[in-house]
Amino acid sequence: MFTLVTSLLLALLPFQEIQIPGRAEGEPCWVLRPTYRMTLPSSWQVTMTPAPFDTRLPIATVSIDKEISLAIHSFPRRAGQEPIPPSAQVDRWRLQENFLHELIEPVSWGGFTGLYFEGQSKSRAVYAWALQLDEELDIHLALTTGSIEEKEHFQQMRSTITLKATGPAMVMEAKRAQLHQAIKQFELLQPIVLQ
Amino acid sequence: MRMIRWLGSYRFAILLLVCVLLFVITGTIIEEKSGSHSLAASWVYESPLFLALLAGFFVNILLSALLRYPFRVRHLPFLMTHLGLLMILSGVFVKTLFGTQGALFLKEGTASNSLLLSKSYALHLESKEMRYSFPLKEGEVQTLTDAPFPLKVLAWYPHGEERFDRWFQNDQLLIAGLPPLEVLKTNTFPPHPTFRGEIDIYAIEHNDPKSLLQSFHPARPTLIAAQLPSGDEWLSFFSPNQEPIEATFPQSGAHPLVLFDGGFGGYGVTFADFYSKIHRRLVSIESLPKKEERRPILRVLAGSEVVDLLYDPNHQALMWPCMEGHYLIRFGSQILTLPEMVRMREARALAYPESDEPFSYECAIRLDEGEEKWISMNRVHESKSGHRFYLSQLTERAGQARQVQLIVNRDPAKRFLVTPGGIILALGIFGVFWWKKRSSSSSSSPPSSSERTKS
Repeated sequence: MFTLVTSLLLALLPFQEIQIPGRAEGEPCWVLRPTYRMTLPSSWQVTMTPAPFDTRLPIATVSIDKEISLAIHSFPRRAGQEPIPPSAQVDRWRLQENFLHELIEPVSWGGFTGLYFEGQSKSRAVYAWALQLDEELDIHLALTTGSIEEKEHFQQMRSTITLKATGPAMVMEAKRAQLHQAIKQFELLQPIVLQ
Repeated sequence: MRMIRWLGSYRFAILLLVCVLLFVITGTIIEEKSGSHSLAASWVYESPLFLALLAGFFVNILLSALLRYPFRVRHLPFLMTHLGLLMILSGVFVKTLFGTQGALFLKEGTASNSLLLSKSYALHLESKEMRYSFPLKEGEVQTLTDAPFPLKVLAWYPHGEERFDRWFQNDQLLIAGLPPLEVLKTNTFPPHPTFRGEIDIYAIEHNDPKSLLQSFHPARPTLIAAQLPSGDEWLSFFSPNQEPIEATFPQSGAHPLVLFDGGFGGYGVTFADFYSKIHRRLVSIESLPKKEERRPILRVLAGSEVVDLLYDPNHQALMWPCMEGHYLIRFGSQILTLPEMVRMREARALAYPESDEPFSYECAIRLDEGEEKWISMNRVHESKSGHRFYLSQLTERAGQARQVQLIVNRDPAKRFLVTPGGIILALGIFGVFWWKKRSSSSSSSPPSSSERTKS
């Protein structure tokens, strides 16, 4: 009864907070703890797709009005391994379609820095963000002491991230502001305390 | 009684006003000549004489109200006005004595509750296990008794600056604490390190030192310092259990290299932490700039070692090693732990339409994971504990998360003295005018028929 009431009350709220687990690279991953969070409009359908190792699969997908698909990928790495630079992700996206119009801009929020890519072909549009953790925060996480599980979680937090929304150009344009606002809510669940 | 009457008289009030006027003129002249508000504040507005004048106002207002005793109903607006003024003046005293003002530094994605108090001094010590803070009074030479090792403040110098030399000079690698190391010109790694100690050091000249590293897997902590033909310098540090760190230092300017010692306190130290000190000089400067910009140098005796520390009010520089690297030390501001953890998600510059020229800055913060608030210079957020947060500065560097400086202040008297005092004062002033108008209209109205009959 309580769960039903809670679900009904939550359904009435205009926004939902979702928590997304990270994933590990190659090594045994005991716990996929919630690592990221996002605040999205309640009408957006979120599907969690835990994919502990396969980076070809998203860790979560969001369907917006059944026309736009937002895929969130994380790319974990081993200790000592270089992160995938955001420019490499953007280069990959640029090769995927013949875009008539392209825009690339630097972005920064939530401790992440990276690039925003916008591409538009005749009928379809792509708004995509390639992010990596700020260098100082990344080094801090790499060297913060803790239990083996905590260290594993810190390593997951150091993953590079892509958020890619695709859909019909007209619908994407209509949802542009809402999409951008929602994406900027993406952040690590656990803040990094430097001092 | 005559004395009390004089203290509550308008003559005393005028005398106080003239004195305050002279003080304000002096303060304005000092501020104009020195360009320093802080200097004017410390010499004039925060001086005991100026505070005594404010106390004089308090006594004058209090006595002038009490001298109306026995009170009548018509005194009510007058008393309210005086009560309001007394509450506001008390608020000023309480804020001066117990108020808080400081700065909070946050990078996007980080959280903190460490407030660095303005105009304060402290010596901070840190080991891998413990942190210690010792509040200091400006200019005071003292022994810090609670320190884990003998620690004494030997001297204060009013202002100084930090100068760093380059690593390589005259084909020698300079690391303070070590003799100059001869640079080896080679295309391969020398068979033995140039220096062997707690860490191995290779001092080489090479045009592509990175290429040498592909077949280099040291089993011990190792520093490779390379002088490039361009004159730039390249350093790389290997630690068996950590990621290698490397950096190029262009010829122009000073570029700190941040290393981490197994997450020691979670933040960076210089190479010095691994081996004594790097080549660093602190220079005491005689010509003093504005008081706000002065950075005193503190000379301390840590164990048997004399360490000079430059004031780091914002705790942005790296801590300095002492006691053979077992402790890090900083001469900074006093830290107040806020009751709320402040988290910052995003900071941004707001630009004029169709321009990159910013007209304002803002950032999104959460207090203890509560509702997100956007704050700016003019949009202040006040927490439940009465702390007011506003954005003071935004630092943006390409490829890095943005950093903000929030100013945080708390006036403990605001809620129970200043705001109610202001309301009572406003009501009192309104009452005074209303009463005057009422009495003047009643005295000028034509006499009633009964009064006419009597007369």
